[in-house]
Amino acid sequence: MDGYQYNWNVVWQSLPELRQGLIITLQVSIMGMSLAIVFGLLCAIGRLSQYGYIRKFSVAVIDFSRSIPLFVLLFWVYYGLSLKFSINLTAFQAGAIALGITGGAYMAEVFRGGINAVDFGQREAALAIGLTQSKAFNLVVLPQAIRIIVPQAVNVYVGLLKGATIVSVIGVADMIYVAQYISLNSFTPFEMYSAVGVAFIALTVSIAGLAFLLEAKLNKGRSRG
Amino acid sequence: MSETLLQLRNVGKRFGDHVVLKDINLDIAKGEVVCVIGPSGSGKSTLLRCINFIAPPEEGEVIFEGRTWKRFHSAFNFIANRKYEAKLPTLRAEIGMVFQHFNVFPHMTAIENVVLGLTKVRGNTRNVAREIAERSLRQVGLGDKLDQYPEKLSGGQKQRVAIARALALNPKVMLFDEVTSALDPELVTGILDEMRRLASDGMTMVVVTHEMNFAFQVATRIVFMDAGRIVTIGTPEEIRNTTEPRARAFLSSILG
Repeated sequence: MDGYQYNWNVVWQSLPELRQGLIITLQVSIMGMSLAIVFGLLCAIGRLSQYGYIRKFSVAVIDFSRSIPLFVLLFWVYYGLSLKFSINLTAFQAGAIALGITGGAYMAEVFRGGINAVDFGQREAALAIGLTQSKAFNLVVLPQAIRIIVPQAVNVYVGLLKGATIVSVIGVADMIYVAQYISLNSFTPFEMYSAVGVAFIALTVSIAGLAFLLEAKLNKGRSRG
Repeated sequence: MSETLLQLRNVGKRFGDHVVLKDINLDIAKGEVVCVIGPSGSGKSTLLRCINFIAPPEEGEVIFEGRTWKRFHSAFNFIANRKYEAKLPTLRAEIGMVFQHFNVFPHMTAIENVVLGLTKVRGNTRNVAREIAERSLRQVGLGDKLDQYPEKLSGGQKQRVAIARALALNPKVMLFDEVTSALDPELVTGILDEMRRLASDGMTMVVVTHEMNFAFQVATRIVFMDAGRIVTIGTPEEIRNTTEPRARAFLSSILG
């Protein structure tokens, strides 16, 4: 980078704004993940349904949600809903919903994989002692599936977190938005975006650490980690 | 013969086009020990699963304590299916089942495995449930393993947890599905002794087994199955002297 004058001071000076952006990024990604968990669990249960047409419908919904680029989805949810159906969402709400739909498609597969990985005999044994279908699922199958689901769900969340950087295009004041805005005035895009990158690395590493602790807690009674 | 506890009437089961069970008729009296023998793939395990509707039979009916149970499934009527499925636990709660691969719940300690059914099915309080569970585990010789997770237990101990889990609910009949087949040889005797003790206590039992010595010693009647049908039923003495060719061939291949 010939002749480029680094100006890292800008980063230090804009820390309060970046911090604000970081909070928005976290908020929109956590909202998105919460929606993804609900949407994904519904799709996964649909895929495992005993009714063929519910299974097919769920597969279609999952394939559809997974195929749309997040960028396009954002425009559909934010502008499309507003233009076509007069549903006016805030940029934040639209961002969270778009992340929820994309993440939900991945979470559906994560849930399904986790549930299928639990030995079928577990469900049989739970039913055999007289538990209802839903109790057998909630008390016996799901707690075992969660050990498999958690690490993969963390991956999905990290993906959503990075996906959340796109929400700046519809004007959510996330970290990228802040970085872009500040570098417009100070001509320091390299410094600002690098700062965002470092923040994301720190976030991802912390999340991985938390996930590790959570997994250790879930693995009680099982020494294979 | 004392009163009939359990009857299978023309029970049939198929997976797709593959017929697994056909025309199964069997009456079991209170206190009987019925051993089911036959080559692998003859439908013995499926027969047990039909009795408690873990694998509901497509044809025929199961009559348990005078109440008739039939499979019901509608492709569209969710509510009717729900209603039917909601009734099944009342049947299953009266029928204990022990599996070849133990199927103990790995995320629960031994005592939690037993407590689960006592609280969630029988509606006992936690304290009462723990008391019953402890007694039940002591009976199968696991009094010192109450708070162990299954991972730390041997195969024989896991199977004892499974037996205690079923017995704690005070079932009217116990189903045993090749419960010693996955055990190390030195652990088999212990489990069989446990089952002998149950039989002599008067428990009604249906036992799918490859342990011929056990079957001929303990059974009140032996059912020989082949290709999804009951070929012959009789007392151990009758089966030993059977002239039915398939049963003869099976027994001579096993007993030598």
